[in-house]
Amino acid sequence: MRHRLFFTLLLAFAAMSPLFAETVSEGESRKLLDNQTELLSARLLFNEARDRWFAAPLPGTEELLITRMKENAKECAARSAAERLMRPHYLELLKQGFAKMAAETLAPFRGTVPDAALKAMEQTPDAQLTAKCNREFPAAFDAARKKLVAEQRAEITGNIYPNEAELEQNDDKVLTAMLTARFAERRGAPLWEELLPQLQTELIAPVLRSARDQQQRQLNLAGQLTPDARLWDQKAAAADLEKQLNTEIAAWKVEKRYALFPRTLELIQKRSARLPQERVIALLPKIPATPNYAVLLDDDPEANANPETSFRNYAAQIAESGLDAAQKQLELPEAYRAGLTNDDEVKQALDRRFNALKPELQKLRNAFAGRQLKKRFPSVADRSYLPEPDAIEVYRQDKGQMTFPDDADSPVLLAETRQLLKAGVAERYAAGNAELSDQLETVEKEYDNVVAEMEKLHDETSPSLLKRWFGAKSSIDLDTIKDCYTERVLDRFRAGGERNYPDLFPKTEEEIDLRTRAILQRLLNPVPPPPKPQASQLKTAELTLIYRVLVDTENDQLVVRLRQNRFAGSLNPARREAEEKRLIAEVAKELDALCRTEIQTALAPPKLVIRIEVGGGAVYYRFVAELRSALKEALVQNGATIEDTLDRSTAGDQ
Amino acid sequence: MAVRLTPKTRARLLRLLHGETAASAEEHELNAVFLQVVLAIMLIFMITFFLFVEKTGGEISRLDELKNQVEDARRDKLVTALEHTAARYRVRYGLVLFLRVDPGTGARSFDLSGVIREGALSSEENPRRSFRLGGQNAYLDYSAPGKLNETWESETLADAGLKMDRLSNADRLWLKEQLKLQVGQIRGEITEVQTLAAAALQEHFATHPEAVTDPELRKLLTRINSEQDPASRRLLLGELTGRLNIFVRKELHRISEVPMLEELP
Repeated sequence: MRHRLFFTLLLAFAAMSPLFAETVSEGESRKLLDNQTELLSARLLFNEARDRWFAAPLPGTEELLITRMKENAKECAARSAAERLMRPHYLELLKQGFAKMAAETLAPFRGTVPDAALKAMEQTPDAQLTAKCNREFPAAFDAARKKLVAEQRAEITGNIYPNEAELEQNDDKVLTAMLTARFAERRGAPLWEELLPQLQTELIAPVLRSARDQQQRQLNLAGQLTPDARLWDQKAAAADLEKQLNTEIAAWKVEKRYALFPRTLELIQKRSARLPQERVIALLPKIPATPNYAVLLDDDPEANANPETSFRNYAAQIAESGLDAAQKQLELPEAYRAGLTNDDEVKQALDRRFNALKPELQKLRNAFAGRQLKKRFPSVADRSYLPEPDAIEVYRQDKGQMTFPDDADSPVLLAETRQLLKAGVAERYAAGNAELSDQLETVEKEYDNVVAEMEKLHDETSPSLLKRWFGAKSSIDLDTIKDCYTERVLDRFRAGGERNYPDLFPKTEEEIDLRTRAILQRLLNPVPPPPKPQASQLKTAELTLIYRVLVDTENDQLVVRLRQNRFAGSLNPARREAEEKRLIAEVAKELDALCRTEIQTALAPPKLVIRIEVGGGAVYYRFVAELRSALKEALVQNGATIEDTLDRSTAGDQ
Repeated sequence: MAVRLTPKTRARLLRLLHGETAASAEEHELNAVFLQVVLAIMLIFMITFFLFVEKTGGEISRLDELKNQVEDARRDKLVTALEHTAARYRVRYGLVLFLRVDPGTGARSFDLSGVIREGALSSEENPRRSFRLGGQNAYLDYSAPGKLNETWESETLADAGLKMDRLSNADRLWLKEQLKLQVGQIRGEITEVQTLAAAALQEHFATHPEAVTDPELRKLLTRINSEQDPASRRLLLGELTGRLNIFVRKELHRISEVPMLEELP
């Protein structure tokens, strides 16, 4: 060893001795420089290669260690013994690796760099190699050992795992039994019963879990992976999918990696066979719908008036254009185009595409209908449309009776326009009806005022003053009263807000006429003053309570209002009778409760006036009669004395 | 072309030559007579010509000899002047301290043993000063090669006591060639010295590679060692050599404060 070191030092000295100890002949300088440059190149390259070699782990050592341990399996069974045996082997591998690296790096310099210098570089650096061995061996040994153990484990359990077909044909229970039997068979003797649960939970269950997981992952991937876009042929596409899937599977870190399951293969075949359909279906949502529906509506509203027909036709058009576009975009070969149109899944995809568009199409229709309404029925659109008063009265009787503007039946009107028109007209009729109701209400209210004031003047002042009050020139006749009454009604009505119908409806005029007659009759035949009440009666007369029972229909409901309470029941013919009975009972009960409360709190028995008012809705007379009877019944039960004024009523709605 | 003489003419000629009658004379005899006459005239001219040549040739060679002697003397002057100029520049560039010439063989060598120590410029005054100042002077001069050549030329002519316009064309050309040669040679010597210094510094880095901390070089080393393809690796090694050469010259520049001549175009 000492001789070797001495020799190395000599070589190094020879290689590094200065070349300029003596003079140099003319013309030799270039050669000298070249030699030195060559030597420097060699050293630089070698140093770089050496540093890299020392920095990186020696490749392939794991396999060499595995091979060596397999060759000496008996000696290497124990880990510590194997480590002891393999360390010198690893050091030897490092030495060989270093020598190889040095030889390869310095090969181009043989003949141009002095041998002594090359030998000095190639000299094995034992200390550094030992350090590298100490640094790298544990990890390399550990990796090699793990691979060996995994290999052995796989070898041992390899024959016990269920195969792909078994996994698909049997459920886990059957497979567990099958694997248990295999363990027993492998062992060559029955397994002890106590061991079975542990065997099944710790060995078989994880194996089955992994297999099932792979099965599912394969299926998922087979459904998700996309074959090369240029492929259309079923076989080629299936091969491509299988290749992709196998590549994915190869990266899975599992103890046993299963090949493609039959069901996975089946799915691949299925997808490959339907590749054109699948691609078209995938592409369809991305293709814009043509032709433009808005343009179609503008061009031919008559043809698109009915939404169902229009949508049906448009769906057919965009289906055709969408398929064409998809085929062009995909560059679908002619041979695969034939079956697309009639394919159920493609049809469903086209339907889905259309249904996704439908809300937007409906918006277009609605917008168009709005424009159409504004253009053709501007008065309805801007709510300035006023139905005739007669028409309003007809509508009041029957809500279905409305007169629509001219051109309302034009075929170019979209169904949506018709609906808007109908709603707009109905709204105007309802508004007119509301004004009519207001007029009638005013008539009624003003009636009480007129009568009260007239009777007061009649009783307290002279006839001439009453005449002046009525505005009569000579005598008070029907026209005088009517004019006075009408004027008061109109004043009060017009003072109630801006009116679309500032004049009287015919029905109002009729009502005024009727009530005028009543006023005149009252003027001509005054009611005798009631006899002076007794003390007790005076007390009674001190408090008069008026309860209005309002009966009407609202939104297909029969509604009865008593003070703040609202009672509602369905107008559905099937349930109407029962609902009416319920309503009557509820109203009677409420009235009963009210009466009790009032009687209890009043100092003297009050006078109760129950006024039943029927609105413009479709209310049966029968219902009103039954309600009246029920209310009377309720009052009687409270000990009240009933005076029914129905006979004296002229309007018939009290 | 045979000219037939009239009988009368022939008779006259024969009478003149032979005094015979025209009846006995032949045509070829007349031709022979003419030939003899021409040869005699040629002989006289030849003798005269050779006598002339012998006399003038000697005079010309004597003149040439004199002329060569004059030219040689002028060249000697110029050579001496060139040597003086080169010596002055060697001193200016600090080469004298490093340059060794074997007196026996004339072989030249360089000794830079004391210039770079432990990766730094020597603390000894002489080599340090020679290397630094000389290198700086050299960089300064060789940065303007046109001006350097002119200076050399004027200094050499001044040293020789000659003027350029008095020199013959041949001398002028010869001088230009010599100047170029000398300037180039001295540049080579400076480069040699600086390369040796770089080699000495590179040796230091080779001994202490950890001193190479340039991050780009470190990245390149990592890249080379990670490269698996041998061809690419070879290419990268070539790149590494180039970068290390640049690196060492930059380091030499840094520690000596001498810009390298190789940095010049």
